[in-house]
Amino acid sequence: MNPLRPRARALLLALGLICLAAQAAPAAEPAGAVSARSGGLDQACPAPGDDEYGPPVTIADPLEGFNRAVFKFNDAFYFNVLKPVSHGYAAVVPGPFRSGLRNAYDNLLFPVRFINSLLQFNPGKAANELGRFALNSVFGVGGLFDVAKERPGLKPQEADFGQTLGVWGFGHGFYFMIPFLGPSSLRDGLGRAGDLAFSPVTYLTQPVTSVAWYWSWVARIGDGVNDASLRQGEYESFKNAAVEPYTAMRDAYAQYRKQLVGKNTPCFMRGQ
Amino acid sequence: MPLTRLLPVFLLMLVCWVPQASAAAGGPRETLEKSIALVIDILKNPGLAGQDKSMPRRIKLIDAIDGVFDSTELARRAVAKDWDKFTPDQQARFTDVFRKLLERTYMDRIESYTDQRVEYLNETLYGEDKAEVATKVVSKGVDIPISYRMIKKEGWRVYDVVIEGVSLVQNYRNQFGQILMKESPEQLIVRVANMTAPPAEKK
Repeated sequence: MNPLRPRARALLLALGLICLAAQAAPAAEPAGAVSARSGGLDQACPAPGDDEYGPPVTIADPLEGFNRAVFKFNDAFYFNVLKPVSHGYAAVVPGPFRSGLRNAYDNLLFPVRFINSLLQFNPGKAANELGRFALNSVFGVGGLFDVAKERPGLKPQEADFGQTLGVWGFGHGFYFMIPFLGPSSLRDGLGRAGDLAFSPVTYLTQPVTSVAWYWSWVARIGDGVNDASLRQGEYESFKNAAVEPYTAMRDAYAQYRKQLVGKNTPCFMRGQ
Repeated sequence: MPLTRLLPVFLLMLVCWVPQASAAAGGPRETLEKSIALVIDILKNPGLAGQDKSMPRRIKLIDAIDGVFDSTELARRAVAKDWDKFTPDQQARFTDVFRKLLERTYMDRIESYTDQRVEYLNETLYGEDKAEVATKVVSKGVDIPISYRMIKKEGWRVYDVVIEGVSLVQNYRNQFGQILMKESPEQLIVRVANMTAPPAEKK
C-alpha cells in the first residue's frame, strides 16, 4: 500500500516521543519521589555501591584467646549479675523514670559528641548536638525528656573519639574485648579513653566538685544498670540468632563501626 | 476515513504501555512494600492478637515472610565459598534449617514491635537483577536504617538484610566459615537445626 500520509507520520512520531519520555521519566527517578532523606553525609557523596562484592569487612584478632575468655566472662557476668540486678531494679523503678535517667545521662555527655563532631569536620553534626543539648536541657527538664528527637533535624546521633580516629583514616588495629564493657578495638579503646577527658562524669570528683571520688563510678555503674534495664532481651535475642556468638559479635562490631565511620566521613576525606 | 489508518497508532500505544504497566507493578520497592504491609496487617489484626492466637498468627507471618525472602539465595550466600562442599541434598536440608532459624529470629524481633512505622527511602538498581531498597524503621523517635538487598528471579525477592550497616548474610558467613574450618557440612546442619528444635529433639 501507499505509505502513511505526512500528517499520520507526524502523529506517530509525536506519540513515539511521548512514550519514550514517559518511559524515561520513571527510569531517571526509580524510587518515585521518596528521596527526602534527612541529614547524614553519606547522601551527599556518590553511592558506595554494592559492597557485598567488595572486600568483606574484617577485623584482626591476634588476641583471640584472651578475647574469647573475656567474652565468656562478660557473658557470665551478664547472666549472673547484670541481668538479675537490672531486672530487680526495673521491677521497682517505673519505666518512664528509667528512660528519663538514660536521657539525662546522655545529655550530660553532650561535650563528647560535640567535640568529636567538630574533630570530624562536621559542623552540621555539631550544630545538631548543640541544638539537642539546648532544647533538651531547657525544655526537657535538664535532659530528662528527649524533646528534640521529635524534630527531623535533631535526632540522636553517635560521635566518639574512636569514630573520629576512623574518620581520620586510622584502622582498628586489632579486636579487643573489654571486661564488663564488651567489644572494642585498639583504636576504639583508645578513643574511649580519650573521650573520658571530655566527659563531665570524669570530673564528678574532688578538685572540681566537693563529692567523694567514687561518685563518678556510682554514676557510671548506675547508668550501666539503668541502660541494661531498658534493653531487656536484646543480648538474649542476639545469642539466640547466633550459631557462633563470639564470631557473630566480632563481625557485627566490625560492620557496625565501619558503617558509622563511613557515614561520618566527609566527602573530601573519602577514597584516600 | 477507514479505521485501519489508526491501527499503527494503537499498536504503538500497546507497545509502550504494556512494559510500563508491568514494571510499575513488580518493582523491588513495590514488592517489598506489599509484603511488609502484609506483615504489619497481621501484627495489627485484633482477631490474631493475644497469647492463644500466637500459633495461627505465626503461621500467617511465616507465610507472609516466606513470600518475599529467597531462602535458597540467603543460604547459598551465607555459606559462600563452602557451598560446593555440600551435596545437593545437604544444600536443601541446610536451606531448610537456616530458613527456620531466620524465621524465628525475625519473628522474635517483629513481635516485640508495637509502635513503629516503616518509611521507604530510595531504591537503587544494580544491573538488571539486583536492587537495594533502603528503609527506616521509626520507633519512639529513633530511626533504625534497614536496607533490603533483592534479586530478581521470577519476581523480586530479598537475599540480604542490612541493619545499621550490619549485613545479615556477612554475619552468618563469618560464623559458618569459622565452623566449617573444623567441622563437616553435616555437623553444621545439625548445629543450626538444634537451635530451633524443641529441647526434646536436640541431637
